[in-house]
Amino acid sequence: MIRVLRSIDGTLREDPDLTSHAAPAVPASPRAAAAGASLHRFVEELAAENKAVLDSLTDPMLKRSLERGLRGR
Amino acid sequence: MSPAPPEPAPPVRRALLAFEGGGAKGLVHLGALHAIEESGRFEIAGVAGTSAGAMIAALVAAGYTAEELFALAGPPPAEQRGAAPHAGFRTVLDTLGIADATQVFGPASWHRLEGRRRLFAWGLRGAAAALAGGLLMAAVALLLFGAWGCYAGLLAVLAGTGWLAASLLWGGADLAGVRDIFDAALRRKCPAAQAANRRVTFADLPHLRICAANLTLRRLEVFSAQTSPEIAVADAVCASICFPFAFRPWPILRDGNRGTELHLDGGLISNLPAWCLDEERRLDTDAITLAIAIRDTGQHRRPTRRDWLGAMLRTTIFGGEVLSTRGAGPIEVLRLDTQVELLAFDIDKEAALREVREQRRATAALLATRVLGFPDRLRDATRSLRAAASAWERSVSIGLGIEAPPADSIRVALALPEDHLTGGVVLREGKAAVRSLTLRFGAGFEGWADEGLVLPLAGTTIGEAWTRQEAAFRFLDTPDSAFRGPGNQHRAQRMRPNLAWVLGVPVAIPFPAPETEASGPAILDAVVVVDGLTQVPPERAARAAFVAALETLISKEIFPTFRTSQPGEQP
Repeated sequence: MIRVLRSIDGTLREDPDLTSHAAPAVPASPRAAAAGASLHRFVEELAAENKAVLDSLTDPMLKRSLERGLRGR
Repeated sequence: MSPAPPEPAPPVRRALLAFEGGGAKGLVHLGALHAIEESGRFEIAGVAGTSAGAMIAALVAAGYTAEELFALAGPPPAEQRGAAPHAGFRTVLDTLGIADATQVFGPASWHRLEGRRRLFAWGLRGAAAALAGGLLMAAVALLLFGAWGCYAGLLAVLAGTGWLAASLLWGGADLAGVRDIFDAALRRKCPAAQAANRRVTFADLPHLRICAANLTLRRLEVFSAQTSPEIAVADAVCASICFPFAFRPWPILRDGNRGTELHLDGGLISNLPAWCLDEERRLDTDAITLAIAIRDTGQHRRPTRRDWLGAMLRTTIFGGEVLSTRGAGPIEVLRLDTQVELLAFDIDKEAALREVREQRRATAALLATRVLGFPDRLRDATRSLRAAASAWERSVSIGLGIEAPPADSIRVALALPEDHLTGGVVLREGKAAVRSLTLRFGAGFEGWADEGLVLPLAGTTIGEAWTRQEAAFRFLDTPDSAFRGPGNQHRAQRMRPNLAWVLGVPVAIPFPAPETEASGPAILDAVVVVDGLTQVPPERAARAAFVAALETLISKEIFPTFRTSQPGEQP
């Protein structure tokens, strides 16, 4: 579904006439499938490497710090 | 069959480094520096530091590499070294003929420093116990020797307290030895100063900034080639590391009629001076700032209302990181923690080596996750998506019989929830607090000012997509379609002109942080933003056909590249 919005009096409202409820059965393009697979494989590998680094640290404070840092905090 | 062409080398990015102060905790920086250099992805264009961070910053600015400062490659494991546990292990101090860090201070100063370290360790509890003990002795003296004995006991307590106070105020260690050794280290990399037999000044190191607290002028002092070209870098370093009570305030003779000014540790005001590289960031907008922060998260006991002095000092020094890392342009704060104590300059080499190695591993993991590998992949994905969307747009314009859009029509970006206080992204577990999204990893945004734009969730197409977790689309050709209102002036000015439409598609991107019991798998919720210049005729039929074609773009290109956050729609 794609909600089509329009601005009416400065407020975003849905345009029911144009909002699309179609869900076309379109296969993934080879490029998108490859890009997605590559991204997800990379993430899995890096997550595994990061876990190995975390497990190898002996300084518990650094370990906690890294755990938070890896989650973007 | 010809072999596949080698992948192009990843781009090298100019980096501005900021190092936080932390006394002996500054070992953290050596590990971080190793990881930054080993990545091979950064060209250091400027450095700033406070306290221990000032030392590292000055040495890096002079041209020392991480390996020269603290060799990691050399030493074999301890068990193979037998009686000579540090054989082969070298630091910059070894090259200067100094056996360990304590020698830098000299015996007298190190003795004083030791005394203060014990005093800090005792804290208020220790002082209170000593006072109570003195008063108890006075009471015992009263019982044994009468009033005169009591007077003598009280006098002794008073004298002891006075000695302690005087010692704290005036008896700090002297940094003259540190200044000379540090200058000698800098001269090795600065032939002009070596040849002229003079100290290395800021004029010799134009890309260096050092922060200290100027007691005479009662303000923060930023030493740099612009503000103080004649000042010796080693003097500024001594000013910056001059931790109150541990060291005597450091005097620097200034030019003109300013006379001698006293300084203390810059950490009292700004311990992580990423902000003072703002001019460099504005001049070089592609450069990234890497701020190496030392977290002080507390192996220390929780403070109580009676025992708060140590916690106050730590909060003063480390608590202002959020303020110190304010600044223009891209900045990544790498927070590292350590069990090494603030004044543990006598840490043994084995422990130091372990520490630096672990910090190097941790920094490399943070860089790969937050600065290099993962962000690179997201950028690749938006670029690939842009190419696909451009092809899609051309075919749609032919199908609808409308004018072909220009080749650079399509742009793709990710709208990410960012933590504007601490930097970094907000993962799914923190999603409830998100109020805005920031456009990142733009493909096709080159030359446009709206990359990095912060979009409120309320009143924007992208915000609607995020809030309702449904794809949202908008034609932007109606008169009131641009950002409106006084709060949006800046955003409206930065928007690409002639933008015809914008699409936001919510996606859930797996994040390369290990799963935790508390938070589960790491997921980065984001909105894929695609916008373009295709002018679709205002007739309903044409617009409906364009929207229907967008469904194909989403199903065929966007969802397979990322992952939908809508249940049941994952291809």
